[in-house]
Amino acid sequence: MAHVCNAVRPSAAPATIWVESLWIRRNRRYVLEGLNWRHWAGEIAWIVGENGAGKSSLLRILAGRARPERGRVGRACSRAASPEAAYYHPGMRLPPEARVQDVKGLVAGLASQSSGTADVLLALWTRERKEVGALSTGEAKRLLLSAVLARPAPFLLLDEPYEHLSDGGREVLTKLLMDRCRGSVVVVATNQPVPECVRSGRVLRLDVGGVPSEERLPL
Amino acid sequence: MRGGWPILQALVRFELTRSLRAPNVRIAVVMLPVLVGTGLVLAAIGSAPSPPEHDFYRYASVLTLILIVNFRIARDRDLGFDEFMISNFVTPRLYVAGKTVALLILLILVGVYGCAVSTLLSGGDLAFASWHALRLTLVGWVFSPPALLVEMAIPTRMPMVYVILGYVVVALGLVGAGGDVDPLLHFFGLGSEPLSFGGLSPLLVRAGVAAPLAFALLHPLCCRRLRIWNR
Repeated sequence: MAHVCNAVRPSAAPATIWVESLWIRRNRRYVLEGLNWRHWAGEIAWIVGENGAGKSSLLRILAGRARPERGRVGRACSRAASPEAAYYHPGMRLPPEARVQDVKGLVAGLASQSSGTADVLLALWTRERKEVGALSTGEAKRLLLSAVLARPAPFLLLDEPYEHLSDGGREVLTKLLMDRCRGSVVVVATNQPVPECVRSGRVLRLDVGGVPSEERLPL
Repeated sequence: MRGGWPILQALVRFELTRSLRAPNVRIAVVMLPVLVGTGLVLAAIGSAPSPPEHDFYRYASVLTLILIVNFRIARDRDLGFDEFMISNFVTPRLYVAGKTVALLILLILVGVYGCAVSTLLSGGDLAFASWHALRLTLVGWVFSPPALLVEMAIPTRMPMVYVILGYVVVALGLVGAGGDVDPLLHFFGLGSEPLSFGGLSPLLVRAGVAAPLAFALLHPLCCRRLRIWNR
């Protein structure tokens, strides 16, 4: 993650993520040209737009998993926290031969201290001995998301987290994210409408061939 | 990212549990006593020129290693699980280290299991059972670094097939060039007589020194590969 500039700030200042003059190129075409954008803890940032607009690429760069063509990416948080991001994208899956209890055990061992939020998602069902391969797509997705959410990282970057979730699952996830954004930077990329229960937040709209625009919720 | 023993323990526990639940390991668990038992029965009725109990244990060992020696790196790559882990929880170094330690424990467990079932099947011949089981574990560990290298290069769930093929090709090349296979056997510490525990010492040295060294050399390469994959 050397291409993401991490900074330490006084503990009172909210965690912040930013991009400066960001250019992203995909398949010989620039999907983002000179984007300047900043987001901080306190509300959720929704990156919306059609397929191919550069949402996932932007999130991947914010997570430090890809390099921008040009420009700078930075993350800053208080001295007490490590400026690492928890990152999810829809291409991630859990091993089908593992059981739910194995995944929970792994996450409990890996996350230094549970954020507490994941338990809410996991508490939705109790089939701990079931193999991941035997779960429905939505259940497996919920398990994976709860693992990502278990990390109390100051930056939470989720790409299409609502895909395959039931209405109940979407509602629970939205509540978790709204709760989480009070202390963490939460950025969600989606090509679905922003859930209706979201009362406030920022929307960064990316359009293929268009200029990115910012809006505030409610739209 | 966190590091250290608790993380490694969690990773090893997860990888080991995954391995024990994998169908190929279950097949190996069933196949090993069947082949060893067949060899022992053939030996008892005296129907083969060479000692079949040893031959069949060798076949069983090779098949078992093909089935169980697997770091699941290519599999994780297919699933995007490596990216999930490396993006969120562990460094590539720790991720590969967890898999390596889990494989070592799996090989030891399979060795203990092999020893137990062959002791039972042979009517308490502990020398026969323990020698073959020890050899199985040591050979598996000695050939694990090449298997790791294969998984880094080829998306396969059975890297030992490629390792064995490579071994056979080199052996055939040696024979074709008018040479002898013995130097190759000695290079890997495989030239021991059945039931000679002293004969296992070259293999033990390779397992104790050469394999960890090979892993130490390969790990930076693996971490680099994982970073490239996940960029």
